[in-house]
Amino acid sequence: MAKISAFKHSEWTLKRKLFVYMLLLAVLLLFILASCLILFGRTNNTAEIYYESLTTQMEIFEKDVSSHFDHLAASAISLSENMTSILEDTLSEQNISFYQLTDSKDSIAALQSAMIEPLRQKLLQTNCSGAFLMLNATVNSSLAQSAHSKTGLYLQTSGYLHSDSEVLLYRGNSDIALAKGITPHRKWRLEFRTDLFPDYAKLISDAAHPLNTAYRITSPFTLPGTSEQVLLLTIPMLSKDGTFYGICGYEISASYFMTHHTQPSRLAHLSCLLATAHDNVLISKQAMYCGGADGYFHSLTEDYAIQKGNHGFSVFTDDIFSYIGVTKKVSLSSDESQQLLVTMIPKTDYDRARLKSFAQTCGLLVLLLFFTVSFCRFFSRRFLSPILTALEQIKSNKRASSDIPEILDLIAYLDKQEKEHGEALDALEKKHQVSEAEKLRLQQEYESALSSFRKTELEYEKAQEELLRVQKKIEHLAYSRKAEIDPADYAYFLSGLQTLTKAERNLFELYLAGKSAAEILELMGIKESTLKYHNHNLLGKLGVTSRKQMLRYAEIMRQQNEDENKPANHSTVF
Amino acid sequence: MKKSRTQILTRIILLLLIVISTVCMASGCSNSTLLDPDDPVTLTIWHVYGEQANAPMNLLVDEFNDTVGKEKGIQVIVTNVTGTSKILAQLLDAQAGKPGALEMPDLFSCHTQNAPSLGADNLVDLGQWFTDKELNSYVPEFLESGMFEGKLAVFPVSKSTYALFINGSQFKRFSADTGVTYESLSDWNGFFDVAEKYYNWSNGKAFCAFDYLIRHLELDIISRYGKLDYTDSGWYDENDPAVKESFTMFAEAFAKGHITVSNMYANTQVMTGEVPSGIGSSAAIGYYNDTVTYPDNTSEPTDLQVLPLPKSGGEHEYMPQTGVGICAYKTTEQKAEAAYEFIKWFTESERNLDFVVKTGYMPVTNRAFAAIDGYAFEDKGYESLYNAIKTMHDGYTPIVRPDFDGFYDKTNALYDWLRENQPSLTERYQNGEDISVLTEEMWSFFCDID
Repeated sequence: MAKISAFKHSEWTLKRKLFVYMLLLAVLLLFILASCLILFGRTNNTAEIYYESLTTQMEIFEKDVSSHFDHLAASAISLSENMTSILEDTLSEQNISFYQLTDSKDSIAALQSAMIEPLRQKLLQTNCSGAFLMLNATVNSSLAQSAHSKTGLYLQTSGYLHSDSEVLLYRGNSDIALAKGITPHRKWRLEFRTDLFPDYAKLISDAAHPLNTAYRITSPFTLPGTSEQVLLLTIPMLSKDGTFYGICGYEISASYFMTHHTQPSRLAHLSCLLATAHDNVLISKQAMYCGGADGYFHSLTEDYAIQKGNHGFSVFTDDIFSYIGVTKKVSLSSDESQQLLVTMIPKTDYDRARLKSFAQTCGLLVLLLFFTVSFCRFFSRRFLSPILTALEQIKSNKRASSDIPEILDLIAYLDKQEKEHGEALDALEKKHQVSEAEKLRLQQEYESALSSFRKTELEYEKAQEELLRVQKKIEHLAYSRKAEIDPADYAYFLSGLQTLTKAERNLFELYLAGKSAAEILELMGIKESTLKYHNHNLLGKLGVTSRKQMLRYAEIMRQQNEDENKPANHSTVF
Repeated sequence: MKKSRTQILTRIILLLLIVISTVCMASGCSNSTLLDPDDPVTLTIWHVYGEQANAPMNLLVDEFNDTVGKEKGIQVIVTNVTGTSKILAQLLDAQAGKPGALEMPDLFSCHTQNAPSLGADNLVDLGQWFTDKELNSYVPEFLESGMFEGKLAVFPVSKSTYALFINGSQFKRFSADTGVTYESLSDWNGFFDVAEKYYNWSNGKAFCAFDYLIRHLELDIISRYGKLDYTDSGWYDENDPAVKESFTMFAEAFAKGHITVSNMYANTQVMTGEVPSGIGSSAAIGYYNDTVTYPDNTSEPTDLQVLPLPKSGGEHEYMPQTGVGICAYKTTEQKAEAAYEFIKWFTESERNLDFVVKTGYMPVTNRAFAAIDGYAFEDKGYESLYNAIKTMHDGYTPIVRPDFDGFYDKTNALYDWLRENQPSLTERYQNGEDISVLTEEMWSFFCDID
């Protein structure tokens, strides 16, 4: 919550806010990119890549090997038929049966002489390193080892060269070979040893028509007298009635296999093996190897335990080395026996690739993070700098300039505002000045009025004093003239007061209050003629001849009333 | 304040970069190798050590790959095992990219005289890779034999000589019947005498097959007459009486059927019982069968006995010094360094001795040569060979024979003619024809070859 509130921090600078938003945008885009890559299967980890590569390599290798051995089998069937035919023809020419061949040195020589050239041609025409035929006969049955000794021919070429027509005689009559220009192999023997021939007993027991189900593949073995590993594709030589004449076939040497099955591969240290599977143990001495077209491959020298590994891999381990790969069982011969194909690489290569991939991913993330942060900082600065500069200029009251239209608008707007504020201020200033003048004027008027008031007040006080003096004089005069007044007239006057109308009474009171005629006209709202009328009636009823006499009688009456009411508080005259 | 912190951070990063660069440069200076164990370089090799037979060289290559090769990042692959007589043609085919030819190897066995055919500029000068101290451990004459155009282009890894190989089982019977001994074969006179006796004892079989008959003629002439001159075309001077005298000595034995020339290699004729002995390269011991098989399929152990070359009786006796060295085809500096590492490893005294005693060669380092005396041989035939080599090493003078352009074609023509005509020559001799007529006929052909 604290973090969320921190994001909402209102005091964050514009720069920080923009940076965080850009960062969030970048992270969001990366997340979407990563999600899409995962969703569309565009991301493969190292294990998957290597498994796919090795599996693909296995498919290529299997096709290559299967195709080769298929052609080899077809050629072997033809070889068997041809050699059987030559054998039967020669026996016919010699007028002997097959069983009479044993101990017949000349007949065997004649037979080999007839067979050696066709066998050489087959050897040179077929994708193999050797061709042989081993007959169920021996040149000398009297020897102790004759039961295992079989006559025949075994021709070899160099396993390395594609077109080496030089053929060597590994087994057979050396004189016949030399006569044909074929040099005896330096580990030559006259005859085969069946006890050194792999699975010979089983090959005899399996020998039966049809030939297309009778060919077999031996396990790789060391060719006696040499260090060369070979495997043989064997096929029986049978008469039409099933008489077993012998075995013929082709040899694939380790050097031939290595040279001619080199695999196109991008895996640096690929090893491809054709081996015999033995209860989850890979016996390296019973395997043929080849590698990729570039780079080297390890030639295995130990036996390796085969275990199931992760990601579909098989793991091959001995005490020191470890390999990963994929395996596939194939049947290259016509029986139920199976061979094991393996495509493998050193596990160290795989581990190194995984480590490299991990390091690359980390490096990529660091780089992305670095560039994201850098770019966010850069672009946020780049974007905000002119704005902030302009704001600083605006704040510092300098003449702001910018190439951003919005800022220019803002500056124009602020200028306009400033101008309007200036005008308003001027107006207010003027108004203020006017007010000040008016205030001064009013002050002066007030002071003048006050002075006038004070003067008037002094005059009033003076008038009051005068009035008091006058009243005292009047009182003195009234008192002095009281004796001069006719009591009857006065009595009439008093009685006439009782007869006054309301209007006449008001008029009498106004006169008594000292109001002038003009004031009375205004106060009573009557015309002058009306006033004269009322005056006439008033004077008549009071029995006086003038307003002066009337006011004198009224004063006398007020003094009488004051005298009578002195102990009492009389507010009015009447 | 913020600005100063940024500056400090920048300075720290720069300092770190400088430190890292310095460390990297320092480590680079201390280990200037182009090899990388994590990304091994592959060297292909063609060799001639073990054609058709057990190949100790291949086993050594495997050992190298599993040890030093793995440690330094070098993997050597044998892509051809062939013979000395064929390798040059195969190399030239590969160099020319002929259809069906193999890829040109990075390392290959080669005679010094054949190296110029491949172009001196195409070969690595291995002398630039080996230090003087390292080179001092090799036999100087062997190093010298690998020089051409001022470059150590053919590095000696082993040297061979010639020896007399005998089927001991048969000779024992022959000896018992005739009283001849191995000592009887110590000089050519005794040798031809024994050959005649054997011919008679065996009802007309040759006693010995010669792989390089003409070379024995040369050694005999040099031994007895001190010198041998050649014609401008690289053949023997028919006007030199020494040449004719020596030729006649061998021709008489040949025409009588006492000796023969091999069908390429004498061991073939020995293992088939055709002849009881052969004279050829000491390296041929690897190809001698441990069993002799006769046409009736009977067989017996070969009981190989190896003797020094018969002496000529001159002031000095000579032994040929032959054998190929290893050349490195010039491609990249990394491969050149890898080649140097392999050759150095391969020719280290102890390993060189182990290798040569299994292949019938002479070692190329002084220490290895000295160590032969005490070496415990598993095979008596090999022990016999190295006794013979030691005898010759002590009493004979090694000599490198010149190899002229087209020389082998001429010798092969001679050998082919001899093989073809020996039956008739022998028959004619047995029919009473004068041997001098027969040898003159042979001499005439010999002279016509030039």
